[in-house]
Amino acid sequence: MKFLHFTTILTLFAFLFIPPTVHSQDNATLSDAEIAHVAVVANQIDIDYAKIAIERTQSKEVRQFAQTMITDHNTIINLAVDLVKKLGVTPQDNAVSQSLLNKAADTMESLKNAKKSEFNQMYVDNEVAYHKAVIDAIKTVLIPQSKNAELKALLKTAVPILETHYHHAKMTQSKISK
Amino acid sequence: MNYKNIRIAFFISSICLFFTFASGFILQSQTAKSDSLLPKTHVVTIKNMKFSPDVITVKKGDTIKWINKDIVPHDVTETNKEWQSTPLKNKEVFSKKISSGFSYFCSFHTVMKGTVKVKN
Repeated sequence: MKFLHFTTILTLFAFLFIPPTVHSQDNATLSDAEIAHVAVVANQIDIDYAKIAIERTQSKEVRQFAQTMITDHNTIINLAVDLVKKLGVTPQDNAVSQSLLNKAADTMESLKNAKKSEFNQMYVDNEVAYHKAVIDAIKTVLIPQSKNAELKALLKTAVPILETHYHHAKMTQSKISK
Repeated sequence: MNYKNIRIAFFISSICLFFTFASGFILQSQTAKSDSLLPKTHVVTIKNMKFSPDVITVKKGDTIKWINKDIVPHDVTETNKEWQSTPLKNKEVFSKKISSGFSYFCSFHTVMKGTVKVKN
């Protein structure tokens, strides 16, 4: 599981920090359309993880946490979609989004196939690592690179939400570890 | 000119003026005193995933209004779950008249916590 977290974090940053001469893209900087796409994908991934959790968990804490993830990440996605419609921007698929989706597919497979006794820990451990990776990416890459003020503001609005999710996941992690 | 009458008139005017100011002052302080006894409404803002202020001290009979200024829903749940607000969407308000102190949290985001204290 820790390997999956590490590869997710590494992927998210690799495409953004590898020098242009090595990178397949002309410029490591993401456009606003690409940033919007990454933001929607990152939120949708956590919704998909949460849906698996609601199906598989017997824990009230984990179920409540997962439901909050669905509610909050859907709220952020809806605001992002409203914003891109308003700006007349079409979110653009990109290598970062694709890599996130590929890695998420592996993680979802692991969650679906996890033993009953191991599922809660696996899910929550992944939530802690995933939220940390996404928070770091938003703060150090997506916000600084976004050019549109409203997109930047939406990303900044998401940060405390994601930080609360991170702390909530940590709290749930310590409860189920007992 | 009767200076004695002028002095008496001045003296009486001064006394009247004194009592006018004195009664005005007494009336003002009585009003202020009764105003301070009236129940007040306090506001706790829910913003950036925090209750602000997270610790609030009020008098018995005062009202607290929780206003959600976040984009995600929150609620106000008494720590022992004796009562709970309905989910609050953005801009929605929950009001509660306070009879005693309590601690509370948001049941959606259980790391968000607050306390209400009651002073005499």
